[in-house]
Amino acid sequence: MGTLSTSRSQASAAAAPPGLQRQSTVSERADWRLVILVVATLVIWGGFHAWTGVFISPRNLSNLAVQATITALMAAGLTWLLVAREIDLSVGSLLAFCGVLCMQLMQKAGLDPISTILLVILVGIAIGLFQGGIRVMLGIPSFIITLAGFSWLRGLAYVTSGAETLSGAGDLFYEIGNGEFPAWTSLVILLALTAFYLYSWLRTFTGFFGAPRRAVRPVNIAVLCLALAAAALSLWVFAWTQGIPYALSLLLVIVFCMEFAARNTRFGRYVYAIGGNPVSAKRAGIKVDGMILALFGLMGALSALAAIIQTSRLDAGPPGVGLFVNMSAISAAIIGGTSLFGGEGRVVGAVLGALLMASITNGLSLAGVDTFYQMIITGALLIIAVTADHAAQKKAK
Amino acid sequence: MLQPSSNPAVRVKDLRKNYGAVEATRGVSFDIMPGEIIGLVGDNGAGKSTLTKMIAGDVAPTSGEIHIGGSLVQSSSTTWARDHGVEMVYQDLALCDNLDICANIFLGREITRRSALGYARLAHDEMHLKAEGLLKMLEVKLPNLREPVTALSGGQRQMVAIARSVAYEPKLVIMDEPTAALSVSAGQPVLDLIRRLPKQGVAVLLISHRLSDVLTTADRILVLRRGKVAATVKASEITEGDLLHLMAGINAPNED
Repeated sequence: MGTLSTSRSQASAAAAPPGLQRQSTVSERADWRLVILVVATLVIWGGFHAWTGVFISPRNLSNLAVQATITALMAAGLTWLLVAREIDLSVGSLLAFCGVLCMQLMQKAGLDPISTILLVILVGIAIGLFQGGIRVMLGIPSFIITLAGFSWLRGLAYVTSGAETLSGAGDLFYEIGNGEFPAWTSLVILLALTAFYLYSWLRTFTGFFGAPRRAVRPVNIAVLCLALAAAALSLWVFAWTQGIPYALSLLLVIVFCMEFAARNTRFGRYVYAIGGNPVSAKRAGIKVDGMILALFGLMGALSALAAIIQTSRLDAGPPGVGLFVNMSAISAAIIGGTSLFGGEGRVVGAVLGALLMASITNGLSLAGVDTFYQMIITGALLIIAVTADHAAQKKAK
Repeated sequence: MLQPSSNPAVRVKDLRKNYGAVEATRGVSFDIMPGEIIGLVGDNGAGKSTLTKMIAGDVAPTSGEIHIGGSLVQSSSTTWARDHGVEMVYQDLALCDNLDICANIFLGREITRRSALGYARLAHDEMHLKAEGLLKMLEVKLPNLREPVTALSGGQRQMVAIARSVAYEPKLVIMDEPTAALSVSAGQPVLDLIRRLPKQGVAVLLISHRLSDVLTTADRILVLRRGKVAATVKASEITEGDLLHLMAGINAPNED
């Protein structure tokens, strides 16, 4: 048996080119999944464009990007929580509370926008840590704690605002959600990003830059093609007539940092380790409780940021805002490939999921379809995405 | 067998553990020499699991001493034990299925390099090379190290768990039923691997219900019965039947 298994693995080692590592079949499959998600989004865009005639225009796509940003920020935080086998059902209520707080601080307390932003982010983190603290110290499932948060944070939003909506925050605050970089700056940023992406792709797969190269697989080519297509589209949308919205650039920076951390830092690796097997993670010396606490703090910060963008966009802080955004964010994470059972999922997938959902809402609105139908279609989409996933996984096994 | 010149990897002296009125171990003493494989057998409730948990720092003994590599264990903590060279391979493997082989081997002990921006960045290539070297040294053949362990067979997963346990030059590796979840044919390469560990200077404490595995793998066998060492025998000098008699406390016909 010993010799048998030896000869078999020698045979498989001989099949692969020597010295050339390749990514695992599992991560390859996850990448294909994202490629399909992007292609599906593009097909939907084409359909809406044929239907409405205005969908694929710089103005609408830019608008769509900012619409998706708020959900995407929350979906990003939820992805890591779900990967670590936690959940947060209170982020929509936290969004409303932080939004109310923004307007109250600026209008009632007379605080300047910068201090307001910092304070609201701190409040978001504190509420996240509070909920995470109960989760960790009392061992109560996060589902229950954040279900409570769903209620009491919404109530707090109404109580703080006296159930009235303050509006008019001043130019500086308004710019966050509505402003954009000048066209030429955007052009430089986009070209720099494209160049950086090309550089890292070539570095990984061709060995041009002296790093140990990896075997190129079809999926790597597909991702490259889509990235270049996205770059071309972004140049048209964000550098032709208008610039990159500030809100979108904030999202991109956060997503980049989270994706980078997931791959290249202990923290990121431990998020996945906890999701894979919390007991093993603990035995390996990982401070699981501290990690979960940190993830809830991060979720609070991201919710506060989303609230700031939302409030700025509306130029108002209504306490009833974001009733459905919690579910949208969870849906986006799941459509993006995050497993509800933990251990699996990527932030970039959640962002693409948020984009797909925002595209459908946006397209149907443009076509004049009633919001009620939009809700039905969003639900159907979730079922389709999960069913397709399930079928694909069965086939893979 | 016991050379007075070399120091034992682990020395256990009169170790007792009471759970209330229940005496799980009642004064257990033994030495494990570096490079020695000790089989630990005994019926359910004989105290195997309490004994191993005390050595691994999971359970504090009521009285008695544990010396690891010559130093007396002062506090019971798994981290302390691990830092002082006691590794445990759990029956349920303790691998993260979603992480790749390399990530599992280095879990909790990742190699990092300070990057230009000041944060500790995982040194992927370095860990990959080290993992490859480790597996080569242990003569373990596995597919792509980037593959998540969920893609591996039960035997391969067990070998990853064992490779991880010896990655940091431990003095003692405790293996709790390493073949229990495997078929006999899948367990064979795992036992072969265990037999190769003494070459690295590692002592092994092997717990198994499969007496044939213990007899073919261990140098000495420690028989526990009702919390006491009932016998210490050379594996080459005893049959499975005699071992069963010792475990059950029935006088075997040829027991001396």
